[in-house]
Amino acid sequence: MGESGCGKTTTGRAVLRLVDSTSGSIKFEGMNITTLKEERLRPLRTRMQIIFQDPHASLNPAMSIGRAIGHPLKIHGLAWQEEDVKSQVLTAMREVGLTPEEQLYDKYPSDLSGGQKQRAVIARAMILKPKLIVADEPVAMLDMSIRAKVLELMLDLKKKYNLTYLFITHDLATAKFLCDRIAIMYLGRIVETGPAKLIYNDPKHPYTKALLQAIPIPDPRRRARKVLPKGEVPDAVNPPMGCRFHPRCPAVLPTCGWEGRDFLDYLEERRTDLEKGKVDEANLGPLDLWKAKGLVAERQCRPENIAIITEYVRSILNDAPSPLSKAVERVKNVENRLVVQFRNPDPLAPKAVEGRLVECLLY
Amino acid sequence: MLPMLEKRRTLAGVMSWIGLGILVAFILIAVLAPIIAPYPAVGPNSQFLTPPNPLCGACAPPSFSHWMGTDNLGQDVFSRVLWGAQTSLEVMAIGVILALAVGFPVGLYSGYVGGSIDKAILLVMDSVYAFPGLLLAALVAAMLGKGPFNIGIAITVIYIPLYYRVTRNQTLSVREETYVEAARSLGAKPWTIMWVYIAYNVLITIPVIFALSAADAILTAAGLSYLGLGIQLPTPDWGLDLSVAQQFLTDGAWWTSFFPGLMIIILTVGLSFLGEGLNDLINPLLKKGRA
Amino acid sequence: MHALDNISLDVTSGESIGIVGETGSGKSTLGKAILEILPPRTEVKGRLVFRGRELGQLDNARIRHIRGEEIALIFQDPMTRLNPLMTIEDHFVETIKAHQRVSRQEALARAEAALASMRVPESRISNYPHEFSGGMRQRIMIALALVLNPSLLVADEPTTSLDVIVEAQILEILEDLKRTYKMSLLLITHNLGIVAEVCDRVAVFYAGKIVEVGTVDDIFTRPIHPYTRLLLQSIIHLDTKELHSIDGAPPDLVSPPTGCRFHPRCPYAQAVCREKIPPLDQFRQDQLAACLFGKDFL
Repeated sequence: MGESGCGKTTTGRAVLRLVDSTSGSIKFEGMNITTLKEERLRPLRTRMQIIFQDPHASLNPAMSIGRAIGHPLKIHGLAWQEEDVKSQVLTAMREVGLTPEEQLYDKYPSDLSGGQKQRAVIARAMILKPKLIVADEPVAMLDMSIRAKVLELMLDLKKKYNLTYLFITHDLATAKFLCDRIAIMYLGRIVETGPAKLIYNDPKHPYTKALLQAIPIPDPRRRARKVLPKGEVPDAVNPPMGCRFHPRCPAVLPTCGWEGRDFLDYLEERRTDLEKGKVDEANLGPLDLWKAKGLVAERQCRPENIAIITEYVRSILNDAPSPLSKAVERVKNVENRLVVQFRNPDPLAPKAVEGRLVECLLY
Repeated sequence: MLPMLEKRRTLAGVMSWIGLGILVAFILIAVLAPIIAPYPAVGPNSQFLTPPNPLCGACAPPSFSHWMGTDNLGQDVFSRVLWGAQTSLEVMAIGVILALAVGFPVGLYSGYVGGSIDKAILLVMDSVYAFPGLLLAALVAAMLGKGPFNIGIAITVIYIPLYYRVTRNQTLSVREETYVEAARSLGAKPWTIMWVYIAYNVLITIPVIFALSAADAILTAAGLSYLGLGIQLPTPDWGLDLSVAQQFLTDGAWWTSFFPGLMIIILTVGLSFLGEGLNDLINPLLKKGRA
Repeated sequence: MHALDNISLDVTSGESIGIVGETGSGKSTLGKAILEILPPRTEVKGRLVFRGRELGQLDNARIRHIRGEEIALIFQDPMTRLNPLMTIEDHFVETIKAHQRVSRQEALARAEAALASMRVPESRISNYPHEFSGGMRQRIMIALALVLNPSLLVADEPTTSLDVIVEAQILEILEDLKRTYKMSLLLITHNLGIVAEVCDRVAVFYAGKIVEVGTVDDIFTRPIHPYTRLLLQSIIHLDTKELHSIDGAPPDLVSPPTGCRFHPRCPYAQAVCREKIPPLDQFRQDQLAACLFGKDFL
């Protein structure tokens, strides 16, 4: 689970080899399938299935519901006789509550409601009797009054067929209800993973805490001011150094991975404050004089100004939140450049904390 | 296709209906020509033994017995125009259907497979497309020889790149649809994905260019005949008759060129109506389907 | 087709009212009707009274003036309202100048203040919309809506396409604004959690009709209409122990059910519900519901 851009959908697709991974390994039923050829993978696909977020988009508009659900049987040569396929499809439709099944069999996706379409998608996945189902936000596009029904169906099927779900969602509440274990992802990393109960009762990673706090509670008596992380998820192409959550983290330490970019962001943030922004502008001029490179933020200065500017930069660093200011190793002059040098981040690795794994320097 | 025409009484719907009506009328004319044509297409049928107009041979202006007059050989223009529908539709049908039969699968394959194969096919198609259409058809016609079937093939060559392009581009976008990924996750082979999951959803965009290229094909076929590279006399053909008739136009024999020309215009306009109308009808439906 | 049928709603100054409903309940149509941005050939019947003036009787120029300056709208997807070829600066200057005679300098100063209040760095004012993240864009949209100090802000699913944390950030901003500027807020959403956190009053829509209106406290703690009750139960939140759902699907508005439109899905429906259209009756102070058996649910 995680916000958009955290890589949860890509993870689900990589597990099914719908996208190729550049490194690491994927094992299914003990077999390494990371580089298995598509021809050899195809038979395995009967045992691993996916349910997509948008039920409308995942059904071929040109295929009737009955044909769509029965097609996997034909693809894998599990049934050839039309009547045989049809009887299996009707059974599957009954099983997922897509009734009256005889009437819906010849309907097209556009004739069905969102909930019915998602049931059809589930029936299509279930007809192969899979072991693993990757469910990518299966109820996110459904209306509230229908969501519960689809989730109930998924739980029933799980019990009946001893299914394994990889449930991908941004909705913590649904995940809590449905999952035994959860993994919280942020910008392509798992930041906390463990038994769902433990994590919901006592989240350890600051990001997990923030997520849990941010969910709107449908109870006006429990309104409260929230402590939210600032800003948004940064670009995954060029993620922050060290802990990727550090620029937004309310509990950040000086050793979490501060870098040149963070100093530039700090300067920019000051400009949104009308007073500080004016003073900064007078003393430092435009922001685009600065460049960030790894642990360093720097700019050119005229020789006659460099001392004053250096002094001013030191003063605004003192004014900065302490993790940032403490992360600065030194502010120095090299030739005509003013250089803000950050310290090296502490190494980060998942640690076992109270029954779960957390990737955070706090522990 | 038809049920959606029924529902909409918009301008696009009306245009499509008119276009379809014209096309059907022309098909009927072509099929029924042997029954409804008052005279055979070839051979003098004029009752005048002495040409009333010495300058254009046996031609005569429209009269009660010859509604559209007769041409320089004394052939009934009305009958030739009716018979000519056969030739035009035959050439058009061969040209457009063959172009579709080649362009569609190649486009589907090229778009789905992508990569260097796609690039290579695209390059070949684009080079053909860059050639002026009539010139290309004239070249092929000159190589293959005359006759409706060969002219049809000459026309096919022009339109293959068109069908290829449209199919390939549409395939590229359909390929990214979730249901195609779903098919892959079900374990479907590329062939199955292409023909069961992609083909139909690409094909629904084809009627538009089908109608428009048919209109264009009629003009190209007429152009080839006009240039003398197409159908040969005495086969009745609008373009050919037009080309023969124009030399007598200055002598006041307007009817020999007017009626074949009119037929070309009506059929072309009808097909264009059909194409444009379908375009307006299908595009919003496609967008709605995506939403 | 009647997307909305017999809707009556009062919004007092400084109040925030939530419009809640599922897909097709007509909740977005209401917002569009208020700003008169419905598709062409849509027929709107009824009266829209804004600060004592009936908008239907004003000429187009006056309405255009009120719209934007006194009533502002923000949408689910800010990209649809921002012109990709115009910088943020141009958007602001154009908006301000369309309504007020001020110099470009004055307009720019106001734009910067509005952006700063949304915590958008003024240094980015000359950027184009696509250079911003989703949350930033929504902040810009809000700043743009607020730069003229409207007294009513209509927000149609303003956070639906955003992540939970950014959503919470935007909601906090909206609350702050409401408090600072005494602005009224009409928040259209399908997310009941958001309504519980931001709104003072709620109107629950079902199939183009209001089925219940009341204060958030009343609606969330002692709902009257069966639909409201079932909808609240169906929310999956962190304390959910058991799943609940409503049978059936929302009706087709082309031929809505007779009588009470919820009757086919209502577990308490009686024969009379199929025939009689329930009026929106008052059952408690400030709580109205359209249910023939409302008394039984008190």
